[in-house]
Amino acid sequence: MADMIVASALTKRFGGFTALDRADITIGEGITGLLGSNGAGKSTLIKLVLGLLTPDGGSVHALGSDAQLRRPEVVQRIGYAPEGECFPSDVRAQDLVRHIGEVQGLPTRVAINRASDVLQHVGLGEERFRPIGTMSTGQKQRVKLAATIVHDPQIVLLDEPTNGLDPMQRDIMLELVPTLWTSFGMSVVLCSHLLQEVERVCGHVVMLDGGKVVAQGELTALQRGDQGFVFQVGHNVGAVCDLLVAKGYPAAPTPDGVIEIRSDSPCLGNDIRDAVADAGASLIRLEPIRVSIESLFFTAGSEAA
Amino acid sequence: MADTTGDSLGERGATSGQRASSGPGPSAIHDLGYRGYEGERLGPSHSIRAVARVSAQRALGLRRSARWKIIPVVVIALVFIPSIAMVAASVLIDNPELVPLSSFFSEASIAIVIFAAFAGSEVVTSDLKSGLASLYASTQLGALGFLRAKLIGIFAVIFGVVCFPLLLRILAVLLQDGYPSWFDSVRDVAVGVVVSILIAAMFTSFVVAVSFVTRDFRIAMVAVLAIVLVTAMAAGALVDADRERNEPETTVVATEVGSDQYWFDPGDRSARTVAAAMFSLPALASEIGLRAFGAPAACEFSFDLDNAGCRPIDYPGVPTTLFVLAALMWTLLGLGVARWQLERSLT
Repeated sequence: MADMIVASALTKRFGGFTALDRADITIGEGITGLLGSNGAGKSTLIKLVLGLLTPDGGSVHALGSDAQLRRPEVVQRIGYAPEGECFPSDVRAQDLVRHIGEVQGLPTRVAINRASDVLQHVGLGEERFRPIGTMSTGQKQRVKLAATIVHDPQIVLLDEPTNGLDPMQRDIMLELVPTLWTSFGMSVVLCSHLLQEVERVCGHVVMLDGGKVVAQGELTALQRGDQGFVFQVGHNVGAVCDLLVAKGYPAAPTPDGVIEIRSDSPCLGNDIRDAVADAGASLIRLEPIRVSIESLFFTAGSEAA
Repeated sequence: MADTTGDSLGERGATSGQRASSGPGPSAIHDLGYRGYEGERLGPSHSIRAVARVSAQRALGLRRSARWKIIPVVVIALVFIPSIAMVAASVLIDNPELVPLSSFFSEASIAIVIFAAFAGSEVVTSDLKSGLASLYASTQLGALGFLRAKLIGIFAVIFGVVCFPLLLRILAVLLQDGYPSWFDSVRDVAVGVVVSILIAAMFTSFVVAVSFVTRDFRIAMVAVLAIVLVTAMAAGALVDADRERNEPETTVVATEVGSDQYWFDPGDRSARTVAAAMFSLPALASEIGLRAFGAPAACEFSFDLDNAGCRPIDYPGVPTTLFVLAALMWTLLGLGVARWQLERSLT
């Protein structure tokens, strides 16, 4: 998997405030959530990737090139959607997207054609000739998405794309975001402070807290960890527990027969299977313990602190 | 094309279609018919042209609703109609009384100020307010490119509003055989273009600076007009004080002969009076115009180009270079303030 964005010991200070502190970040293909509370360093990272800020230490590369030294070429391959509404209301969607295409380096004729195409792709057919001010919030979001991808970027940076949207519009947006990767093949960095949002659409995650990276990697791997299994048996719960305790696992059932064993033993799965079989119990469910993204975030944050 | 950055980042070595096929849902590509783009990508100067062009269009109210066309149309009418009338008069009437070129800037300065205030404020603040400025800055334009593009766009329209009516007036003089030799007409055209550039640059950087500081269309427009008015009044007060101290009688005479078309009476031009013009943008524009096309500056009763009734103007004390420098200083000051406020505006 190719690395889209790589930051090495990236540091950025604003006066006495350290916005990013020796951050090592690798963002690959696919959809990556950039997660953190306000002031965690998300926006600073985005601005460093876009070459809008100069790092105080370390470096940041996008698409294999230094984001500072080769800025014009790098940003041509990045689509950035800032937070909130960002377009004048009396301009037609088609004109605006065409204009952004030109600003992103597309020759005029190409920009005209691609503006029509991408507006169709995001679901704005005939509406594309309407002034943006007359559109619904959801349609405006689509226009923004179209403007972000009109120049066929390899990386799309979305800064809080659901801010200000009602639940239904938020839903639509979160359905649109994955299509950037699945249908258009663009890697997406979704910048958000909403954990559920990231959990819903992102395959990977980078968690920032106080300018430090507290966790990063594949979301399912982070959530799974090597922490153990949770399982439930129909009867003979006590016998199953006894067998597992005999093997050295801290097994204790809850009143409804659910047993959670936290252990990093690689044999745990097999041992549970054997204990259930030996006790003659019926297995109802067995799954790895999944850590919710909330607890992952808070655990990682407190560990880092 | 030198502008082209080429495809040096194309290490992905795949068409967008292939790139997409590495995604989890390759069949969707065909469903949606999305096509990638592997063609030519143009560099930052292309982006600057695009933003400057759109900015100029917005300033002129093109492709916008009627209310955004009102001020541009009124201003363009105000500056062009007298010039067109003079061209028409030169063609239709023998020996018409043309207003001298030197007074063009003092006549047009109010219209130019209003237009500059409108164009600059609208073109800059709308992008800052809508957030489009941040989007521009994130592209290859960068923050400085955004500022450059805005300056170019606004300069272009203000220059057009200043220079073309002036050229029409030169044409009127030419049609009337008012130039002793072709050299004089070429000289006037060259001087007209240079002075227009100077004045347009001064107004552009001034309104752009105010717009970056205020970041709101209405406030910016009011601020520009207020600054112009206050400085004009302050300069006027200096002039009045100077008049009373020096030559109160001359003032009366000068006013009687109708020289109030000037911001500063040519008949009453002590060094202090003239220097006061440097602190007021329209007065500075008028003064530069007056000096650029010098000759019939203090005509009495007749604007005849044979200079009958005109007395050669005396430029007491203050050399013309100083006024040009003042215009350049205003320009640089505006650019400095805009540059200083740029980062703050884009965060």
